[in-house]
Amino acid sequence: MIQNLSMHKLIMRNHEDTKGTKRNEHASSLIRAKQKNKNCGKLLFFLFITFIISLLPSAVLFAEGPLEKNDIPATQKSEEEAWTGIDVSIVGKYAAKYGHPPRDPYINTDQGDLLLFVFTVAGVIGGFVIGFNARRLFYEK
Amino acid sequence: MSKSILFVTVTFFTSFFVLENVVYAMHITEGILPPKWVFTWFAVSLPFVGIGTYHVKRKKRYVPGYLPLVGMLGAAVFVFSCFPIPVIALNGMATSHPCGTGMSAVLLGPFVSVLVAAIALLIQALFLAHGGLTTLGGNIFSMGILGSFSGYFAFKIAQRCKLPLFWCGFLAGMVSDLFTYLGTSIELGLLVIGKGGSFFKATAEIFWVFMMTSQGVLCIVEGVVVGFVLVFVYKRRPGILLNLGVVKDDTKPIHA
Repeated sequence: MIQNLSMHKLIMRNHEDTKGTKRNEHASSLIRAKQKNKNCGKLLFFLFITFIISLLPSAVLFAEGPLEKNDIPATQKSEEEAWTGIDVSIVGKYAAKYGHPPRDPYINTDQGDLLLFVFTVAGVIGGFVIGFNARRLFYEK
Repeated sequence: MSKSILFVTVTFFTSFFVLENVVYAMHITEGILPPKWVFTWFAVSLPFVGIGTYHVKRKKRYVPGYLPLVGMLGAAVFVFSCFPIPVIALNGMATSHPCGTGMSAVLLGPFVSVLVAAIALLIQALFLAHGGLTTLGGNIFSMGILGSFSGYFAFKIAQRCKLPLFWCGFLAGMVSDLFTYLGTSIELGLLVIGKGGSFFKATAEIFWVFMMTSQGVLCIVEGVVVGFVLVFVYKRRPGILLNLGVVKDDTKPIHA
């Protein structure tokens, strides 16, 4: 009887040990996964920065210089056009009036349909981020 | 109450549709600011961005769900501030965009809102030909700093006056939009210094033109949006607003 009891205790201890080990293994695998995610994030950030840095020199080299005074109507002409962004029409107009006309951006995506593409991609990514986080915050229990 | 809000909004829009046409935002385009102002605005803005980063690191430890909220509002500020909304106003047909910093300032705090605005403006300057890299400091000052702090304080003052949550949000959104454009007007007005012009006159003229065009309408629209967002969050997950210290237990969402 005593032998059976001690056997039972031994089995129970073994069982608890296995349980503890399993729990530890689970925790360490979680930590490993977290670390992996962190590294992945760092790598993505690094790639993003590298991409931007690689873009900058070419963009600076190929960007057009400041607009001449004769070209100012590029912003003023748009004032008469319908649905012009007031970023361009008011800011551009007054800056030109005070002797500081706008120039092309260093990375000029305002070429043909490229801007439309970039805006669409930005909208899709922005919408995804908003939706994903809104779901986590407001709908998941 | 909601019927009266709808009525005021519709009346406001209609009045602008009926008025005579003449039209002419907030992003200052590349090349407009001379080097001395480029450096000045960067010097003014960078400390706020630094403090914002510190606040995110600190708050994420003790506010549950803070990072998803920062992500969501960051994306919202980014989308809001490059989302051209067509408006027919006093001087014709134009498009303009809201800022979103009022909403982020109320929910995240003004410093984090500056950080969020800075990231949004950087991405826009890099990829969307919107704003500029040399004018980034100036744009952070107007949209990030002035927009966030004015919206935050407007919200706090409205709360002190015991206004319902919707109207607190409305004022935050509207005031932040107004101050953002005031900031842009100041930055442009400063360009006349040394050229014989009057800074105050130039600033007032530019701000007046902004308000008489689509921005006057849009600041009200932004106020309504921020008000509804806050009421939605309060009704859906009041815990978020309580944890952030935005509201107290006895806050009334809409009804006075």
